[in-house]
Amino acid sequence: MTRPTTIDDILKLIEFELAQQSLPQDNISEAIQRLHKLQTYWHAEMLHKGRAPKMEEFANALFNANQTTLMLLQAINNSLEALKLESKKLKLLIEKGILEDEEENTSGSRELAYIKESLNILSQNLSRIRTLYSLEIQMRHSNLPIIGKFINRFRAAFHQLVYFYLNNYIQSQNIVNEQYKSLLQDMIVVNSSYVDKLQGLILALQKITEHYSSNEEQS
Amino acid sequence: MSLKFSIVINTIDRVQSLIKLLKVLEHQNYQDFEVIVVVGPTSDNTVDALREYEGRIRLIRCPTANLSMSRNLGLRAAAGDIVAYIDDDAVPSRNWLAQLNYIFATDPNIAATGGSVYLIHPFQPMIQHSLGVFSVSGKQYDVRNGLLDHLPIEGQGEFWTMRMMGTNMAYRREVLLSIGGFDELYEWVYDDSEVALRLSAAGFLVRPVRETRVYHVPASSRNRKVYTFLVKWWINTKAATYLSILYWLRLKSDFKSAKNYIQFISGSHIKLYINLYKEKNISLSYLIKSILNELIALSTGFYKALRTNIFFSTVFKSINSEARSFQGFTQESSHLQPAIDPISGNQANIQLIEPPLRIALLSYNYPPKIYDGVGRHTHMLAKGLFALGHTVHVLTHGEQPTIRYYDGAYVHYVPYELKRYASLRHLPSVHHRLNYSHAVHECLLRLVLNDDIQIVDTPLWLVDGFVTAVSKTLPVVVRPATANKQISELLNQKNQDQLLLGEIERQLLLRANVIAANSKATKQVLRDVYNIDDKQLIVEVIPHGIEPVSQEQIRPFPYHAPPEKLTVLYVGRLEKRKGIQDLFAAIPQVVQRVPNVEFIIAGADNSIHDGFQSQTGMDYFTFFSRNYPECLSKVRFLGGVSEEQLSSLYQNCDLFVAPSLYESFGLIYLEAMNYAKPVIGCRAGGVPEVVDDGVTGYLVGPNSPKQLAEAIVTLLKSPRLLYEYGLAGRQRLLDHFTHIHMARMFERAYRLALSQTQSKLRS
Repeated sequence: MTRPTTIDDILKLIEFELAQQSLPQDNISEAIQRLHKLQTYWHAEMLHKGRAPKMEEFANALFNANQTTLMLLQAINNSLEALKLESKKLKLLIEKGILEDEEENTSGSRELAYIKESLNILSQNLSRIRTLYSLEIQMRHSNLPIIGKFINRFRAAFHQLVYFYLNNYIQSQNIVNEQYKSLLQDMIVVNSSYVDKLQGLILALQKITEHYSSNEEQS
Repeated sequence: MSLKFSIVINTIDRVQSLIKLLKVLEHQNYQDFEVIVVVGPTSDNTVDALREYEGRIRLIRCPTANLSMSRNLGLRAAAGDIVAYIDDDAVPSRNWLAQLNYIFATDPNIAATGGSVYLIHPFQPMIQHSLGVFSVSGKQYDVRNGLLDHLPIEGQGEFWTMRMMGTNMAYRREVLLSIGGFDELYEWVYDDSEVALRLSAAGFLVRPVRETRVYHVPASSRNRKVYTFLVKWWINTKAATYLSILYWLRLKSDFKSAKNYIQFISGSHIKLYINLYKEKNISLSYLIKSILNELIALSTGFYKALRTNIFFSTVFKSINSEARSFQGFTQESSHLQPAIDPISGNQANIQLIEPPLRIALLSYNYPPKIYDGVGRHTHMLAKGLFALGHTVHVLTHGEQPTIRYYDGAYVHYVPYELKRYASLRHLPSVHHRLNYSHAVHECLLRLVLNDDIQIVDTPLWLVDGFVTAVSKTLPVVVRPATANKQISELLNQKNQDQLLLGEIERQLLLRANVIAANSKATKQVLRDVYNIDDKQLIVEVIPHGIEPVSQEQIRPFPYHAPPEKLTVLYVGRLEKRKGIQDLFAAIPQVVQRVPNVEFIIAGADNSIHDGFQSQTGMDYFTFFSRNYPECLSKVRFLGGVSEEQLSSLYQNCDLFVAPSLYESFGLIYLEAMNYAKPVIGCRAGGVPEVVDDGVTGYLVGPNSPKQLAEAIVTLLKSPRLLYEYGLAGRQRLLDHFTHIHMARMFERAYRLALSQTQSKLRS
């Protein structure tokens, strides 16, 4: 933290920002970039030399970040469903027997159902965070000015109370973050399996097209 | 896959704009297109003017002034796979068709698309349209900040669709024909949006995009007087009423929503008329006529909707199928056409041998807003490059991401927020510079996409192009002048922020494809201050140039009838580096020997930043008035002055003095020489390369007030020298230092940088 910034640090930061930009420009990547910006901003606020944020601002930022992440996950979930539909469409185009439809369909639905369930749990956790946050506000409203030596005593007690709730708050956030992480990992697995399936379907479709076109030429 | 495009231009009485558009179409990067011009009942020489394009365009006549009908006639005549519409008072970006082709070719599901429209307005440039959405009750919005910000729109209970603006929209021809083209009951507005509604309702995908730009340079027409509020707004009301009521009847949608929208449109028009009348912009009779027209428009719109709902399913008379033949527009010489001014239609009158370049110049500030030396240099360079036929885009700082056209260049305003590099916030200069540079880089990427920019030219000062240079997206030419590291060393500044900024400058120089130093002195500085090995890098010396004023504007010294009072002018910030203290010390000596002299000092006080205030506790004016009170009546301090004032000051002075301790070049001397004024400067930096000692003025040693006073007195006492040195200075400028000289040398540097990049790519 105390090491002075060098030109190499700056060059690395630029490379990192440029890498963020190279993501495809769709809604999902836009949401990812927003999250990234929010994250770097608050990281700097909390740990570097920025102005000290108020508890209220910090809680708001965290809540917004969670909300955006949730929206992002919903968007990813929607695109997974779209992928599933695409694969169904392709299957209709391909003659029966090339793929084992039944098994794959059920496993896909199961995976999507799992994702939906996880999203619900996340929503519940988010509302829990909100409740904790409201507790903090009530405490702040009770902070009446008291003159003399009581002020210090009161302040100490007050801070301890804040730390207590803050700890609670951060622990809950950690749980949510863990869930985000595992859910995203699962989604990536599901997504890549769909991509594999689609690639397989496209190859099969190509073979059939070639087969038909060669038949037509012969006839 | 390469699709065939039919560009349809609908026009009435705007021949100048139309010809300008046709000239710009020669520059399209995508060649496979035909042009169909549908001319309404015109009263100007449109048809005659189009004879020049015979065999290259197809001319169709539309009997009535009805835009939808005109669009349908164009659609009927189109032979391309895609029909692209553009207004006659707009010009497309160079990659307009190339991008449309990419969109249609990569996604066969897309039936219609279109991009952003930038209003090139002299007072209020703005993004006129970007990613629009439209509802059956006629409501429309632009989704400028991304769809994520506007997610709830779908949930409002109305049928919404994406829409394009009429001046930038493209359709698959067969799809548009299948829905019957445009509804000809819309005479002027809403036709574009309504087509999007019908396409969506028929199950086709309408997907506008953010880029694929068109620049709209609004011209007056029979329906509006440009740059005023004098528009036949009632046509708008009629169309809005027709649309809202028709869709309410057909879809049985919410009547309240339709009614509210009509009330809003009509009510806001009437309020506008009343305001215009109150501000005395329109007469009482015009006000009454406008309100009556509004009421008539309401009833006509309502009647049309009822009639259409009862009697017709669609009302399109101009659509039928007929044999079409595709006729290409571009010719062999198209790629050698010089750039076009989209406002005046002016074009450099030169025959090009090589295709013109597409250049992005960076400058944190730029005219017509307030600008500094870098802004002035960039302005002259842009003007010179345009005169040589090149397309120039200038990226400068602004509050809104708008575009205007100024003096030969598209000026793109780049706003920036401090949303990146948050961990560098403890280094404010570096933090700001990087965030701005990143915003510039993003703007450049969009320019590459839309206008096919080939090269970036950045000043070293404020390192605008640093992120682009690191990204290696485009070849970069760097213009070093007096930069931060040099100033830091001169002023002995050692804070980490300034030191890192100096390092960033060095890294930018190392990443440049070509460095264009403005003088040999600057080239030496690159070695001494930045430790740059100019044998490893390409360093060209390109002196500054300025636009010569006309012969009538120059004022050589009237040596046959010398004036009673002699005026000596100083222009520059009041700071140590500019030698202001030496001038102060020289003034009493001059006043003593030439009593009829007056000194004019034009420039803002910079005593806080150069450390003078911290040393002496006063600014320069106070310093002068305390130390030389006897000379106060002979010196006028003007502070910062405007461009017009500055020209007048140069014109009316007899001698120009600027004893700078260091100037990388010395543009101010050129500006005085432009008006045939003799100049005095110091033998420092690039000044000796501009001022010819003993021919166009005198050079004295830096920090030598005595020598300075002597030189001033010598010249003021010799009217003949004032006259001869002045004229010689003007001639030296015409021979070596015009903006055209400079632009030619920069053109060579750009071509060198491009060839260097290409050879690197090949290897």
